[in-house]
Amino acid sequence: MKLEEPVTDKSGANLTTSKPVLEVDSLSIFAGGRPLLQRISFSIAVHEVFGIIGPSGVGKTTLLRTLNRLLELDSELSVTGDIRFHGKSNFAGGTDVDALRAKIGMIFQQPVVFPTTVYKNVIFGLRHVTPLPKKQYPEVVEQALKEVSLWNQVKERLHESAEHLSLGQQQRLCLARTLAVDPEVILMDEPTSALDTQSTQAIEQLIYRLKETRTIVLVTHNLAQAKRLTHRVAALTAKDNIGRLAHLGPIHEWTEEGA
Amino acid sequence: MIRGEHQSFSMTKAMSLGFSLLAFGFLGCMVGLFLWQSLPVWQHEGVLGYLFGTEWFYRADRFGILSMVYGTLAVSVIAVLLATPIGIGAALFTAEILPASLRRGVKLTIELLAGIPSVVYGLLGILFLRNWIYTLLEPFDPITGDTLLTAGILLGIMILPTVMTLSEDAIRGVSASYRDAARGLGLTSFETVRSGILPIAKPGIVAAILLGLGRALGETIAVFLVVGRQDNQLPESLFSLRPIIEPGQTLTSKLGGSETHLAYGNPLHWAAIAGLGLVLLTIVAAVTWLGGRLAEERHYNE
Repeated sequence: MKLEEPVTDKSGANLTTSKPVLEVDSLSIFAGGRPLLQRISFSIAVHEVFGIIGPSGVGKTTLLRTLNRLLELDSELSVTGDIRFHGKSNFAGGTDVDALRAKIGMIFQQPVVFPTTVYKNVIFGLRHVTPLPKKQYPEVVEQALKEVSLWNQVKERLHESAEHLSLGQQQRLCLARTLAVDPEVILMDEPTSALDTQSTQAIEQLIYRLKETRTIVLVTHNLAQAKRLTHRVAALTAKDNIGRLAHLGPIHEWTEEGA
Repeated sequence: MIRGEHQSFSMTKAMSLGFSLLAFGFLGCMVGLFLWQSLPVWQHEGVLGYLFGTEWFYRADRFGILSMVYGTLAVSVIAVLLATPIGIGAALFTAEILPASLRRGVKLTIELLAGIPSVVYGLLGILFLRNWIYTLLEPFDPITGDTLLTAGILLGIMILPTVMTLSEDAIRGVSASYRDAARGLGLTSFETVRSGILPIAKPGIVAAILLGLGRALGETIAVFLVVGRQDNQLPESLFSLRPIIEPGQTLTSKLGGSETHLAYGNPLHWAAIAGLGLVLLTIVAAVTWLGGRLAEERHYNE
């Protein structure tokens, strides 16, 4: 299976001049006073596929989890600097963090499927987050599953356990669950690293299609994947165990010397 | 799944099989012993007559144990009704809300409570609880503060640490990835707990309740001290709660009383007492087994 056309979109110009969706402004992350990531700045344009690459342990996932403030749930990590979503600081007082997370959805390395049916997995976020009449759920479920090319495979099994799906299907189900909440940005934390080649290609094709309607931030350790999918990347490198931004821009302009 | 299911014969396997069989054999011998010891009363009253008989008058050779089964179930149900909401609430609070540094202290304290000898709880029951119950029941014209309700509440307090710590283990056993996924979708922490965490922790929580129930059913001395030990107390109609607020008798309070020694000289009376032990053993074993099964099921869901 091959992607229909090369994904590397070279229309970088309009991506960088249009108003950014997310702006990261000299962000530093500390663990008990010790810096993990230092003075990271970049901005992400509407419908851009933005990659975060770098060696493992450099803080890619940590950086990604600050973008929707998921980081603060279970850690002693502290953050300085700012992240703005449509120009408004995520850390401003009175920010509804839950609403923010609904707007900035997330997909994890391992698919997280709840031990219930396919159908209930898709509406898991929707029924809490979106004020939608119940009778419209089936329509949304169908649309979300079609969007991730899973509908034909599961339409007969909507009310069977989602845990019986293959890992690749589970990851697409997670994506459908996120799409059902209709986020503007989707954060993806190495979404294909647990999957086989075929499932990886399926997810990559989805990312390629999703960028028509969403902005995607993709953490990956796979440079070939970053080349195939991203418009621009932030390449992180570790120096003295502190992650710094080594390169910002299209990946083909980056040389791996600093990594 | 990666555990060595296809491993060939090993010492560990042989030993665990051997000791499991030993434990089973021991249980079997115990059941057999009690069956044999209680045989005269089954013959005298008939199985149904013994289990569902409403009168226990040992001087008249009348041995029906229904009122004691009722007493045991009543105090245990009260205990579970009390301990379940408080225990799960406290477990959610420590697991989800308390910071890690405080959580350890709270958990340690609660586990210490579980280790207090039950006779101490009984003394506290005599000191405080039965007076409070008496005052509380005054509108109903009570005879005494020693009632099935008193024993039930005391048991509820006693099993609370069990229910709480095991529920907390179940809640904290839910992988953090579920929490991240739910919060990542924009659910509030309350919605995450209700829709994401609790359904997954449910088998473990049910097991916690059943293991608490097992302890309540078998508890003797604390119940003995505050239950009133009045024989043949049964509700007049199915829905009458009156016996709850009157002195009653449970299987354990009967067995723990002086009648047990008295009975030893009389084969039929002794058989009736041994039968109580058998019934108690069966109920506790069934509940504990069910609790253990449900606790295991949790791991398959993860």
